[in-house]
Amino acid sequence: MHNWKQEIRSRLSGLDMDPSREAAIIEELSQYATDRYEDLVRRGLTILEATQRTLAELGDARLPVGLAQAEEPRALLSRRFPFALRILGKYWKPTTVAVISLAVAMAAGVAGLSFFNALLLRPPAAASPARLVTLYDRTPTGDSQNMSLPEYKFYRDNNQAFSGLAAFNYGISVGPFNFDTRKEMVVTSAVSGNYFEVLGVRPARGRFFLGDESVPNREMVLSYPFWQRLGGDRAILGKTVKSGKDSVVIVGIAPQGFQGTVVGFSIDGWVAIRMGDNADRMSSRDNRWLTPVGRLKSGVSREQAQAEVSTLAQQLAHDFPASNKEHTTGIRPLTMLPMDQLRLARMLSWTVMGVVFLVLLAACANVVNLLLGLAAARRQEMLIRAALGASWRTLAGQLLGETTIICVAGGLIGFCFAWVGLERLLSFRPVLFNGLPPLLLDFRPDWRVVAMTAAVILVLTAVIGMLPALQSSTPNLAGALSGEITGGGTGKRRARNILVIIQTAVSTLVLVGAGLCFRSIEYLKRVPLGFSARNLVFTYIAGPDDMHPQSFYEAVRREAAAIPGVSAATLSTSLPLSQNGPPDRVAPEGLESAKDGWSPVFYNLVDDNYFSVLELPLLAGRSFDSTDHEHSPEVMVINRTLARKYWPQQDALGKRLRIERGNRLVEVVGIVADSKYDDLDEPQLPFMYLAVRQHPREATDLALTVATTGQPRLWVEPILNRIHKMSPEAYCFLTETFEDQINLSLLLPRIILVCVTGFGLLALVLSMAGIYATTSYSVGERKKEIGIRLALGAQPRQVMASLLRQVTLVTGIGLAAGLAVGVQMSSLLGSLLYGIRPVEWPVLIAVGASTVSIALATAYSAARPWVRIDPLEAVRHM
Amino acid sequence: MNRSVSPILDRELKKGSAELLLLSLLEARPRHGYEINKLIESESGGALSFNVASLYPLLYRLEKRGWIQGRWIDRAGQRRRRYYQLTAQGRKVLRAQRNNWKAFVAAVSRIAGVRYA
Repeated sequence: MHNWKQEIRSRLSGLDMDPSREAAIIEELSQYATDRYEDLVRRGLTILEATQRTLAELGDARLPVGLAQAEEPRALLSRRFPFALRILGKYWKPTTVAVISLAVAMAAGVAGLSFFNALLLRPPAAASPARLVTLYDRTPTGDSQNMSLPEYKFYRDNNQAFSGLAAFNYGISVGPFNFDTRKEMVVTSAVSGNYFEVLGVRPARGRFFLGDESVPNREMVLSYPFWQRLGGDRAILGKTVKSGKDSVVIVGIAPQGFQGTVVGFSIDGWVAIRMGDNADRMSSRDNRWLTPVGRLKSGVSREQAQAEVSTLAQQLAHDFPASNKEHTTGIRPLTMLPMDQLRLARMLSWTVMGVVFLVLLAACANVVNLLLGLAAARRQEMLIRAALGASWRTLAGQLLGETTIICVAGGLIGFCFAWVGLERLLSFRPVLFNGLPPLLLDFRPDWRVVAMTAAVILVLTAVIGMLPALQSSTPNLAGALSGEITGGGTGKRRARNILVIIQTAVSTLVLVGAGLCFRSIEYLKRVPLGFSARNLVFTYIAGPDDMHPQSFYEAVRREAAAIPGVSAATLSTSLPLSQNGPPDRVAPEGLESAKDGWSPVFYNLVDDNYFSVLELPLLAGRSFDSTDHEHSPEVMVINRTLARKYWPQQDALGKRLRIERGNRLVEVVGIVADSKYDDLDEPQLPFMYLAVRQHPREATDLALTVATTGQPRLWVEPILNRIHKMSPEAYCFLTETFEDQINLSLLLPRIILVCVTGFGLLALVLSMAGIYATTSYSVGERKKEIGIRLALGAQPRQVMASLLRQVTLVTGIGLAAGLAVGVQMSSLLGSLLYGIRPVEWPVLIAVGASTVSIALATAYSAARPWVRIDPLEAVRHM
Repeated sequence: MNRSVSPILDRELKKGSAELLLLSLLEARPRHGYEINKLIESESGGALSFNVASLYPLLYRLEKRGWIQGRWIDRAGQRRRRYYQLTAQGRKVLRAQRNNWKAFVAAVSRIAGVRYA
């Protein structure tokens, strides 16, 4: 006999009744059904006829509708939140999948937002940071955040727009300081005396510098964490600490949480800008190294301030044409990153945000998928509620309640993941170069990230919640009353297929991105450098103040070359792949008045044997030699690109170039092969080399490059020891082998690759979860059909093949869309990723093949339990 | 049921008279749901019948109003069933509804010109 209890229970499953009341009703109705069935059998009907007739009389949706009306519908609808929880608990498996998908994507999202926030949004810990702006230098060759000290003073003393104008250096210094018996390496930042006053920061202990002009030059303010590291003793105020020949008095402690105005490093102390700086920095108008930061007076807009500094810049250009001709001044909000890094940070942040958005989209598709599944399972309940007069708004509210629970749970879990991860990142402090303090990766979320996360959750909830609500809230009551209660319908299947298409497209797109990054790095590794990086080690050396630079560096080169195992040593101001300093504007002699004669060209001051140590082939002429000295006519060696640029059909040797700075005419004595100067992916640049011996004034911090006969890392210690022995005052920094330097050039692309690949795999997993869910839903819905086909003799293999065909079709559409956008993306990214062609077939094929095969494997494992079902079991419920 | 009665009128008639029918059937003694339905069908000569979807919600509603009371009863040799019996309040309601119904039928008869044989 039919299990009437089960039958009734299934018909009432959509009602949210008190469990004991529900049990009583089920028992009573099943008694009725049993009576009716037995009665019909007694009257001579067959078992099948009696069963069918009883089932028909039990009827349709009118039973639960009637019961719900009798059971006071208002009481049912008012318990929305606990009801939503119970519904989700009932479908806990898909709910868990949805929450975890969302949590993982939200963790990625929060990490991305925090990254974005720390690099681009978070202002310095200053009073009303929105009123702070920096002044920057604009020239035809580009913008720079730096100005010279005389320029800064001019703006400080002649403006009306700012309540105060301070200055600081985005660069940091590292040096040993003696605190009583302890010797500490201290990271210092040079700032003007009014720096703290302009930022509106109050000291935690002691005082700050007493204004810009009255600084006695020998004062230092410690950061709060560094003071704590030294013991946190108040008695430190007023103490004198020594650093080399200098000594400073500690006058104050900055407040907790104040990190200065430079991101990436934790500053231990601030010193007034005049301490330990050379005379050139103090007086030269060409030596631009300071960033002015001003606080706008109340009522003064940024535009008004810009107008004023533009006028002041014109005045400077008029008064000092040698240094300020064609220089103007711009104003922008104060950021913790210098301008040249800002562009990179923006690009990186937006890439991360874009990818995070796509991953979030894939996760949302999973949540929508779950809700569609729930909506299908609860269609009956929704119809009953609609029949009871529940408004569209009430039903949408009901669904929104469930969505809110999923989104908030996913969001909170994701936020916690990200928080823990970013806290841990804080203790990971990578050292990029020996001698530099480790990086401080403080990406911890603050209230901005919390607010943005909350906004994202809100938007997600609203959008996701409305999709199934729209679909379920247009109830077809007539259809429901005529018995069409179960089943998802083709509309829902189509909706799910669209979700899978979106997910597949998204994961394909991100994976194509990862593939392009990978290809780009492979191309970069194969870039011809133009020089030999093998067995080279270098270090920058800041010479001691008490020795003549030229004689000191000559001695350094001699001593280094004498170390056993060193085959040669050479000096230069810049090194390949790390160009120091701005370009000079040059024009070939005779073309100075021509419009396109002038162009900016980077240069390097090098030693006689620079080309031979780096194995840069000399193509024509000669290298520098002892005949080139301070009093001989200035000469230069240029690269092939520069020679071809100005003298395409002629011999460049013996020709002369005019250099705008100092208005010098310099003769070309040699031509060397092209190489890479600042970056692996730079286009071929024109370049010129000048003799370091002819420019002793510019040769203050030189790089020593040493060629060794074996693994260059082994020579780092001996070289540093030898230099220290020569002069304990000399300071070596950025000591690396050239191979490490090349790896460092690849660091950023590698970080991007790791991020994009990680996100790509995440998107793939999310979309596979979507395919799994969709396949099991749709197979589950069609189990009767599958059962009939199996009962009629179809082989499970055939049924499976037809299922997989559908998955292939849906995945294929998503894949095609993803690949099409991916190809568009490749041509867009062509300028950012080195060597990328518009259509990178290997990437597209690899991504396509792996996506389809993983999708098929996923669909197979989802469909297998259903296809292996006993046909009798499948048709039993018909 | 007379075939000329339209389904809509049929529904309206049932709706208006359903409470009266149920209360009347429970006047003599307590009965269970299936018994009530069978009685309606047989007494009306097959003209009237409830399906489950109308009968039980109505029973529950009457019970909530306090007009009838349901009780689970185990009888020897029978399955456990829920029997409904009229309460004192139910009796009053039945009396009032019966009077109303009589008045209604008489009024309809006068207008429609139906004469009792």
